[in-house]
Amino acid sequence: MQQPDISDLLKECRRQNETAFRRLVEMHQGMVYSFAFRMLCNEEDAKDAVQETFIRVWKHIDKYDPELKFTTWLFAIASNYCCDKLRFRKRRLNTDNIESIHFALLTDNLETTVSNSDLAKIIHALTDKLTPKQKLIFTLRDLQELEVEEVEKITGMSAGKIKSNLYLARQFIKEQLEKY
Amino acid sequence: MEKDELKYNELIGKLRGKEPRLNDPEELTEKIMWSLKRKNSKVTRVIILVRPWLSAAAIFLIALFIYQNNDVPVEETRKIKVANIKEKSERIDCLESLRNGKINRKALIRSYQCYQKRSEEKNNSAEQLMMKYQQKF
Repeated sequence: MQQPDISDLLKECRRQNETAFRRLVEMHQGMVYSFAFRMLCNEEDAKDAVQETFIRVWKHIDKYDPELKFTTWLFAIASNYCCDKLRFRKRRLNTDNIESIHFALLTDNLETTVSNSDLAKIIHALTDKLTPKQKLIFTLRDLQELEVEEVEKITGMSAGKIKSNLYLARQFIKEQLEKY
Repeated sequence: MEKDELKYNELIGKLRGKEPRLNDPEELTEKIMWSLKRKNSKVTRVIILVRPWLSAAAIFLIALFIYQNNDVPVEETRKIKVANIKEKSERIDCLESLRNGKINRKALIRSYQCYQKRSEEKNNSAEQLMMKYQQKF
């Protein structure tokens, strides 16, 4: 099936075309879910994040700047939601964390063997004590593999701030890894 | 240090390779579309339009209720307070003029009236108390 052009879909969405919006959701929900899951480390919370992100997209579609990549705008909305969610969430650290990191380091084919819940435990163990900002930068740069310029547009932070937050996040994770 | 770097790179590489799986994408799409329809429905729009007017009306009614219930007592207590202050100031004026030796007939009569009024009130309340005790015993 031929992939429709994003700009055409967005034009249709502006005209309140729900079919076009459904297509847009189908095309991007996986990407938003992956990001939200890595940020929130919980399947249900990640699904809520996807839902809320697309509702916001529909609501504010008129404010979308076509000069910006659509995925960048999508990431910006999702990251705002995830950061807010993290700020209100109580931190918890349990003994599973230690086992999770051990498991992750010892498993050779993590890509095929690990379930979503195990993956959530591993990421949670590594990033639980990071601030929402540090976690966001770490997720966008190291897990989602986005360029600094794109992260700048998503977060609204300067390149220097991104680098310092990423450095602190990496240092913390390395310290965590030192224990194993 | 290098060992940590290697460990870090190894783990991040593994995590990058493992994309979280969305188990039921169709269900999530339906959920999103349904919530949009709910937000766009006529009933919701009407509720959104009517909500501020309803709140304003509710606030107005509550304010009216409070005003009507508190209007008379507040006014009455204010009048009583003003009367008490007037009476007190009259008495003070009379006493002042007596102290300063400016004894005139008018001041004397006024102070006498004030004291009489007060003693009348006292007598009345004493009488009422007496009546109560008489009824009891």
